[in-house]
Amino acid sequence: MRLSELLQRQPVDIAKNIRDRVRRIGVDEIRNRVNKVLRGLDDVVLDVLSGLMIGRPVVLVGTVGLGKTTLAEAIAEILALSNPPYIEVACHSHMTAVDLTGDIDIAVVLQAGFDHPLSYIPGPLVMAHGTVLVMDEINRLNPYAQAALLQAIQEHYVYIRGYRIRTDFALVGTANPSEYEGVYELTEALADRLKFVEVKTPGRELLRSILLWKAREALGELEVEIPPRLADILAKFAHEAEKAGYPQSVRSLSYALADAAASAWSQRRDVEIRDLKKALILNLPHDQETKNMLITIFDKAINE
Amino acid sequence: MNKVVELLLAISRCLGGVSTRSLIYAVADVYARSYLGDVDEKKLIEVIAQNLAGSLGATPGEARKIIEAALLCTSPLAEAPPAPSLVASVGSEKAPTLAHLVNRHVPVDATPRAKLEVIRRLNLPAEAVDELGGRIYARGEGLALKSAVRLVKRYYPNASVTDVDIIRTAMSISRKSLQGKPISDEDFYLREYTYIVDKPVYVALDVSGSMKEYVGGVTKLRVAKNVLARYLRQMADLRGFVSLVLFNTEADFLWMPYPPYKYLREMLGILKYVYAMGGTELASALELLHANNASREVVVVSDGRTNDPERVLQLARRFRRIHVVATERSQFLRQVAKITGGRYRELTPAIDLLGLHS
Repeated sequence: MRLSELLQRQPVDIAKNIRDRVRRIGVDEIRNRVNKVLRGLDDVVLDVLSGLMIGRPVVLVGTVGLGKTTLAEAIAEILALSNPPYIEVACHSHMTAVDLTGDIDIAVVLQAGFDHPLSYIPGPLVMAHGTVLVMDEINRLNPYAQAALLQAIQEHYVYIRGYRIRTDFALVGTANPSEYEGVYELTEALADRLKFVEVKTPGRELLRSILLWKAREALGELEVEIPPRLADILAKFAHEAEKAGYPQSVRSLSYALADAAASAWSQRRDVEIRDLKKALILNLPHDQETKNMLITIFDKAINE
Repeated sequence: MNKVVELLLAISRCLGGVSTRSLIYAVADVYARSYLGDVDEKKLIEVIAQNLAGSLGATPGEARKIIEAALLCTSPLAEAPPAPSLVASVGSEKAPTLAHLVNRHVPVDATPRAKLEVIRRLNLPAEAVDELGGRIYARGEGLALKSAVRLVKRYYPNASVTDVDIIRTAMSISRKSLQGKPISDEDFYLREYTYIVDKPVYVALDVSGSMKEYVGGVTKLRVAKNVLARYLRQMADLRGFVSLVLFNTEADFLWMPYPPYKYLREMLGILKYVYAMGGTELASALELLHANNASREVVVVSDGRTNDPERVLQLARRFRRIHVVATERSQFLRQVAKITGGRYRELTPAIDLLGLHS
């Protein structure tokens, strides 16, 4: 991208574009398309869309493995505001403002002038003009990077070494609850500009069907029978564990189920509870102490 | 449209003012959402909560609780009774403690984070505003860790780095390397903490008017706050759970058991706002704790000038262990501690609350 082109960018009414797209596609169709990737999040999808339609950045909040990032990507792909449909950034605490805005490369400028395509390397905030910006783990940004983001959201301009570049984008972020380690809190000014939508663990029946569906998808053409009872036990376990203060990741659980099935298949026998227990222990992202606690909860879920 | 605006204005009034930008977006969002799908009463509150969560500094779930509580508040809370300030000893003057003020607006078991947000928006009595000016010092943390360490254990997988006993480990490793032997798991020493860590500790703090008396240049309340702040910090290191109860003539939970290692900043923030006024009734605190099944690991910080000593002694018999920190020498409090097998200490700026448990 040449700097001269960037400086002549026209403003885009992104909220209006999204409203038009939603009207053209239709709410039911959007819901159907999301359901191909994720289930049980219909309400969340509508909450996200309504926020974007009024030009408000939306942040999805929830524990790991509930499908926040997938949901953000799916919505961006359905809206398909431009090509590519979205720009994604995985935020981390060492990200600087320059990482978000991009910077001018002085060495190239000195040799080839300001208008060489390589003299300005654009960052995600600039690239996302006219489309959706997906910021993964937005609350891991440090306060310096948050300030750059705030400016882009508020003024719709990004300043790079004195040059002012227009950028309009729809922001969808994801965030883990702030109890997690290594997380910065969003500054008050930034938090005030965001809409926070909570993603929750699905209900037991729904979780069971999701687990079966995802596990079967992971197993692909492998011909194994997954007994629905195992998914039932897992769903029950997930709810008991959440009550005890250990919310479980749907992703880990479905992979545990698929893992159990795959290991049983490799030994040429049917899937049993002991396979599931073993796979669960291997797939849980916790330390030993928490695992022991979870195993007792799991045993309880089996016996009831 | 008017109905939603009215509702939002009521919420804003009850919370003592919320960001106008968020309110405007909330109105717009409710309408955008109703274009996409049905919005019933519950959904309406949820959408509002999603939009106000940022400015309230809470997760959407917490924000919804705050807003639901705000809807119940019929009169603006600016009319919190301006209780007469009194520096008296025993009395039965009723004055709401900070805990009572907060719990009018949030559920009693809300997280310290949600409570701090509410406190910041409350119209507090003048005493609290004065208290806020003072600073809380928590010096000398870390030293007390020794008293709580029970035994030193050999390395096991997934042990936390902070639990490593550096000195012993270093000695053991250097001994092995001098002898030219290989270093193994056996050479790592880990600390294990005493039982106080896995049970929540209930601290009952006296916030009656008498806590405003001076001892050596600072009020008793301030000394108690400093000691508590240090204690919270130590408990954060030990990964324990702490609950704080405030009492004057009545008692209420300022926060239910929560781990300080997650909420230390919020807890210290709330502690800043704690103010003292009203009469004293220690029995009220003991009743509240007993009703919540907290029969052991109770720490009472009080001056012992209670209204009804007989009742206190009667209630104390139901507790397994009450540790007492007295702000002035008191035979009565010594007796309370003795009945339950707890310890009795007098409040000094250097007192180490953690020592009570060991």
